[in-house]
Amino acid sequence: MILSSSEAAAMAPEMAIMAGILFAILVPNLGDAKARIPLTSFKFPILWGGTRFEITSDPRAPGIISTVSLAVACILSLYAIESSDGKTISGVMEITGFGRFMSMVFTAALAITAAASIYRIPSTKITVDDAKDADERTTLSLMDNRRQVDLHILLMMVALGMSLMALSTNLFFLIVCLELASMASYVLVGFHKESRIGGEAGVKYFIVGSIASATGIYGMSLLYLWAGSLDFAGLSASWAAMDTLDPLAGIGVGLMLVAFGFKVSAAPFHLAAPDAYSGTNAPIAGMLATASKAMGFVAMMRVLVGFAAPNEAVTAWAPALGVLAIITMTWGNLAALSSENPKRMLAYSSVAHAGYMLAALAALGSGLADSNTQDLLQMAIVFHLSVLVLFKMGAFLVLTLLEIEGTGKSISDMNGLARRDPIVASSMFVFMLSLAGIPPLSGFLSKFLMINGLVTTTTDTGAATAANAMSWLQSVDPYFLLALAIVLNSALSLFYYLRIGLLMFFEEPVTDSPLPKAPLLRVAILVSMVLTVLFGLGPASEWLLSLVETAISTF
Amino acid sequence: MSFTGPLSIITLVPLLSGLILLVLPNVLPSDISMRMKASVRNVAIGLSSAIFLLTTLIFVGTIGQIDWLSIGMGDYVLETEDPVWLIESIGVTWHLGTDALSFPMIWLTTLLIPISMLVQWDAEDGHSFHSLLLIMEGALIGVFVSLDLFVFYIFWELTLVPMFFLIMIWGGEDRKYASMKFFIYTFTASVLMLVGILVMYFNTVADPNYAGTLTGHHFNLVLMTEQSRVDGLINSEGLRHFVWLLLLIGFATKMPSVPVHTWLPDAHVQAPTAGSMLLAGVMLKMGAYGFLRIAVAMFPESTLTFVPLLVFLGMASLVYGAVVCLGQTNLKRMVAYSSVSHMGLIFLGIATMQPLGFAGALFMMFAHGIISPLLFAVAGSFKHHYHTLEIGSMRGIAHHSPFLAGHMMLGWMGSLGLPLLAGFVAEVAIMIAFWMTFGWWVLLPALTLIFTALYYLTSMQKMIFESDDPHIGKLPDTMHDEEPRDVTWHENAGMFVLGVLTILFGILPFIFWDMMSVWSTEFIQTYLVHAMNMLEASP
Amino acid sequence: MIDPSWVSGLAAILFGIGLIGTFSRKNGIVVLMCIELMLNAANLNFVAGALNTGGVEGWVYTAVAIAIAAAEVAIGLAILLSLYSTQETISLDEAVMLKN
Repeated sequence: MILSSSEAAAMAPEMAIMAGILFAILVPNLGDAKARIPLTSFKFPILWGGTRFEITSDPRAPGIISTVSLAVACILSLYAIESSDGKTISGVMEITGFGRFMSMVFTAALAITAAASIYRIPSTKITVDDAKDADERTTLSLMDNRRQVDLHILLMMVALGMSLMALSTNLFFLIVCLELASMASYVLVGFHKESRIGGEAGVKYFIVGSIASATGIYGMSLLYLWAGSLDFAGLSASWAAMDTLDPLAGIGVGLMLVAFGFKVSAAPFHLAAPDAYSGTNAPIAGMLATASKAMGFVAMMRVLVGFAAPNEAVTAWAPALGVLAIITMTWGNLAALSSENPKRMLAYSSVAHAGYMLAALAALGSGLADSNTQDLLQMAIVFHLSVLVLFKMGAFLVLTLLEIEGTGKSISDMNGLARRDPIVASSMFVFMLSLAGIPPLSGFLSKFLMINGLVTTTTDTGAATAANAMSWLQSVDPYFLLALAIVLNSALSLFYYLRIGLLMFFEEPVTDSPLPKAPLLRVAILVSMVLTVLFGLGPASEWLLSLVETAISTF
Repeated sequence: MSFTGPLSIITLVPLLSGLILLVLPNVLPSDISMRMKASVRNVAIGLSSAIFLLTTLIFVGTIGQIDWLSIGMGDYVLETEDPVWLIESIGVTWHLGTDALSFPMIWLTTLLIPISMLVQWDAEDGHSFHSLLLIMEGALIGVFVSLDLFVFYIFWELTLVPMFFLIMIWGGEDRKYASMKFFIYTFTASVLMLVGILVMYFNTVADPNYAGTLTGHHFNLVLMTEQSRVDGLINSEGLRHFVWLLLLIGFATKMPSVPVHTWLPDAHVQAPTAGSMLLAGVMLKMGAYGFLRIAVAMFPESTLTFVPLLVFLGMASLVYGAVVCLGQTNLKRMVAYSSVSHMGLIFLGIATMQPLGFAGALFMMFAHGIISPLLFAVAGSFKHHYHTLEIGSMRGIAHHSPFLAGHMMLGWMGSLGLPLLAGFVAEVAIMIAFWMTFGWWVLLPALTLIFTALYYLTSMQKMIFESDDPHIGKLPDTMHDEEPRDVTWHENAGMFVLGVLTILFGILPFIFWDMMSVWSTEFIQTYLVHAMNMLEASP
Repeated sequence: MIDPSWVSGLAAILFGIGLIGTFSRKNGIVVLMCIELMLNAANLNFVAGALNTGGVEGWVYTAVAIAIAAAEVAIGLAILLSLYSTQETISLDEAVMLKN
C-alpha cells in the first residue's frame, strides 16, 4: 500500500532510516565508471562502479551515513512526540506520542552504536596489495568498507524494526517488526564470523532467540484461535469479556511472555545473553542491553498492559511475573558478582535491571494500583528504559575504547584506568554509580520512581499500626516484597559496581600507553556522562519526565 | 532569587569555585596553567577567608538582624523563602536554613577551612589540594544548611569524595588501605541511612506546597518534623524503631562510635594534616548533627526507648577510646582515639535527655571541633619536622621547638578538659546532666576522664619537658643528623588562631553556649516531653 | 471439511515435538529443523483460525509467517556455517569457548 503524503510525513523518522539504508547501499558503489554512447567515442560518467572515489571507498563512510540518518531519525522522533495525533496507518500502526518516544530511545541507542562501530571495526585504509601473506589479506579484506556497509545496514534494519514495532496496533505486525529487529541483531552478534567466539556467540544467541520467538509466534497463533483477531482493540475486548481465564488465552499470553522474556533477558531465558554479550563487540552488546531490552519491554507492556490488563476475574500473570522478577534480579546480581569478564558482568547487571523493571510490571498487573499509580509505574519503566541508554550504553562505550586497543576481555584490564585516562575513568565511574542507583544520578531517579510506585501500590500511607516490624511486614501486600527485593538487590549490586571503580582508581595500570583517540567515541562517552548526571536532577530531568508523561498518556 | 541567599552563597561559591579551580589548570594551555597553578592557593585562601568573614557577619547580625541568642529548634533563620524545585517529580527542593544546632558548625567549618589551608600552605600539588579543600567546604556547609533530606543526603555523600582523594593522594604509606576502608565503611553506612530516609519519605503526607510532585510525597525536613510532632511520622512502632536503628547506624559510623569506629584511626593516621583537621573537626560532627536533627527530632519515642543503647554506646566509646589511647605510641592514632572517646561523651550528653546534657553535647561538638584540629595540626607539624609520629622516640621537644611544644601543651590541656579551656565547659555540663539523670553512675565517665587526664599529663610531661641532657633532649632516629627546627610561620599562624579560640571559648563560652542551651530547652519541650508523656501513658 | 480443532490439535503435537527436539538434539541443523516445526505449528493454528473466522486475515498471517520462517532458516544456516568454518563443528555441545 502506498502512503499518502501526510502519512509519509507522520512517519518521517522511519523515512529517514529508510533513506539511510538506501544511501548506505548506493554511496559506497559510486565510482568513476563511464558509459560510451554506442557508435560514438563519447563517454559520459554514470558514477556506478569502476574505480571508487576516495570518499566513497572510505571505510568510515557507511558509519557516518548510518550515524547521521539515525541521529536525524532520533531528532525527528523527539519533535514528533508532542505533535503526534494518533493518526492510523494501514490499520496496523498508530502514530502516538508513546510510539514516537520509544522510536527516539531506540534510534538514540542505535545512533550511538553506529558511531562507536566506526572505530570498533578497524577503519584504517590499507589496500589489499599491501598485505604480506594470505592471513593478512583476510584480515585486510575486513577493512574494506563493504563489510562496514553490511554492519551499518543491519543496524539501521534493527532501528527500523524497533521503531515500527513501537507504533503497531496489531499483535501480528508487532511480532513481524520484532522479528525484523531480532534477525538483524542475530547477524550482528555473529558479525565477527572470522573469530571463533564470534561464530559461537552468534549461534548461541540465534538458537535461543529463535526458539523463543517461535514459541512466541505459536502463542500468538493460540491467541488468534481464541479471539479471532490480532488487533489490540479486538484482543482487549475479548480479554475484558472473559469471566474466567480461558486456557487458550492464558497459554497464549504465557508463551508470548517467553519470547519477550528472552528479549529483555529475564531469568530463566537469560542464559544466552552473557555469551552473546561477551562474544560480540562492545557497541553491539550495548545495543542488546539497551535498545533490544527496551524493545522487549515495550512489547511486554503492549501485551500485558495493552490488552491482558487485569480485570476482576483474571489477574493470572502478575504473581508469576513477580516471582520471575525476584529470581531475575537476584540471579543477575549474584552472577555478576563472580564475573571476571567486564562484558559478562554488564550482561548480568542488565539481567538484574530487567528484574527491577519486571517487578514494576508485576505491580502494574497486581490490580492493586489505581490509574494514577499505574501511570506512575509505566512512567518509571519507560524513564528507566530511556536513561539506561545513557549509562548502560556509556559503560559499553568505555569497553569499546578498551577493545579498540585490544584489551577489555578481563576485568583486570580496567586496572589503573584512572591513571591512563582520568576523564574516561571518571565517566565509567559515574556510569557504574548510576547503574547501582546512587543519588543524584538518573539511575537513582528511575529506580526511585519504580520503588515509589511499588510502595504506593502496596501500602496505605501511614495506615499500618502493627507493633513490630514483622507483623507490619505481614500487614502489607506481598507485592511489597518486590520493593524490598529491589532495595536489597541494589545493595548487593553495589559490590560489583564499586569494584570496577576500585580497580580503576587503585590498581597499578598494566601499561602506561594512552587509550585510543577515537574522538567521536569520546564525545559520546562525555555526552552520556553529562546527561546521566543532568537527567537525575533539575530542569533536564523534569523535561525528560514530562516527555515520558506525555508518552504514557497516549499509551 | 533563592540561589542568592547568604546560605546559598556560602554553600555554592566554594563548591563551584573549587570545581573550577580544580579543572581549569588541566584544560588551559600549559603556560597559562602554570601561572594559574601557582596562584590557586592564594585564590582559595582568599575565597575561604571571605566566606568566613561573611559567616561571621551573619553571626554578628549586621546582615540578618537575627537574635541568635534566643533561637530554638525549628526556628530556621536565613531560610530560603521560596524553595526552588530540583526534582519536582519526587519532591526535592533547594531549601536551606540554619538554627542554633547548625550555625556553630557552619561557622566552625568556614573557620577551619582557611586554617587548614594555612597549615598545609606548602602542600605538594597545592593547586589540586587547595581546590579540593574548597569543594570540601561547600559540601560540609551543604550538609549543615540543607533542610531537604535528599539534598542533605547528596551533600553527605559528596563530603566523601574530596576527603577520599585527600587521603588517597596526599596520605601516608598505607593511604590506599586507609582511604578504601574509610570509603567502604562510611558509604555502606550511609546507604543504610538512605533506606531509612526513603521509608520516612514514603510516610510523608501530601502537602499543598508540594502539589506538583508525581509521588505525593516530599523530602522537606521541616514539614516532616512537624508531621512527626503532630501525628507521628510512622505509625507502626516496629517500623519506627527499625528506621531509627538504620539512621543510628548511618550516623554512629560517621561519628564514629564503638563498634564501627575502626576506620577512623586508620584514616587519621594516613590522612594529610589538613584532611585530619577537617575529618576530626567537622566531619565527625556531621554524625551527631544528623542524629539530633533527624533521628531524635523525628522519632523521639524511639530515642527514649533506646536510651540504654545510647548510654551503652557512649560509655563503650568513652572507655574504649580512652583505654586504647593510653596504649598508643603513635601521636595521630592517640589523638584519633581520644576523638572516639569524646564522641562517646556526645552520645552520653544526648542520652541524658536533659537540656543541660544536650547543650553540653552541642558545645562538645563545637569545642572538640577547635581542639582536635589543633592537636592534628600539632601532630602534622611534628611529623613534618621530626619525620616520625612515634611519641616514645622523642624527649624534650620544648628545647628544640618551643612553639610546637606550646601548641601541643595547649591542645592536650584543652582535650583533657582543663578549666578555662573550651573542652571544660562541655565536659562539666555533660557530667552534671548525667548525674541528674543517672545518679552516681556518673562516677564511671568522670573517673575515666580523670585517669586519662593523668595519663596525658605524665606522657606530655615526658615528651615535652623531660630530657637526659637539658640542652639537647633525645631526638628520634629519623632525624638523620638534621638540626631540629621549630614550626614554620604558616603552621604557627594556624595553630595560634586555634589556640586563641580554645582559650576564648573557655573563658567566654556563652558566645555559643546561650544559643545552644535555648535550642536544647526548646527542643526538649517541643519534642521529647510530648514523647515522654506518650510513653508514660501507654503501659 | 476437517474440523478446525483437529488442525490445531495437530499443531499442538507438532509444537511439542519441535520444542522437545530443540532441547534434546545437539546438532545445529536438527535444532533448526525443530524450530521450523514450531513455526509450522503456528502456521497451522493460523490456518485453523482462518477456518474458524472465515476471514482473509488468517491466510495473510500464514503467508507472512512462512516468510518469517524462511528468513529465520536463511540466517540460521548462515550463522551455523560461520560456526562450522571456524570451529569445524555444528554440534551445539562442542561450542564451549564462551565460558566466563
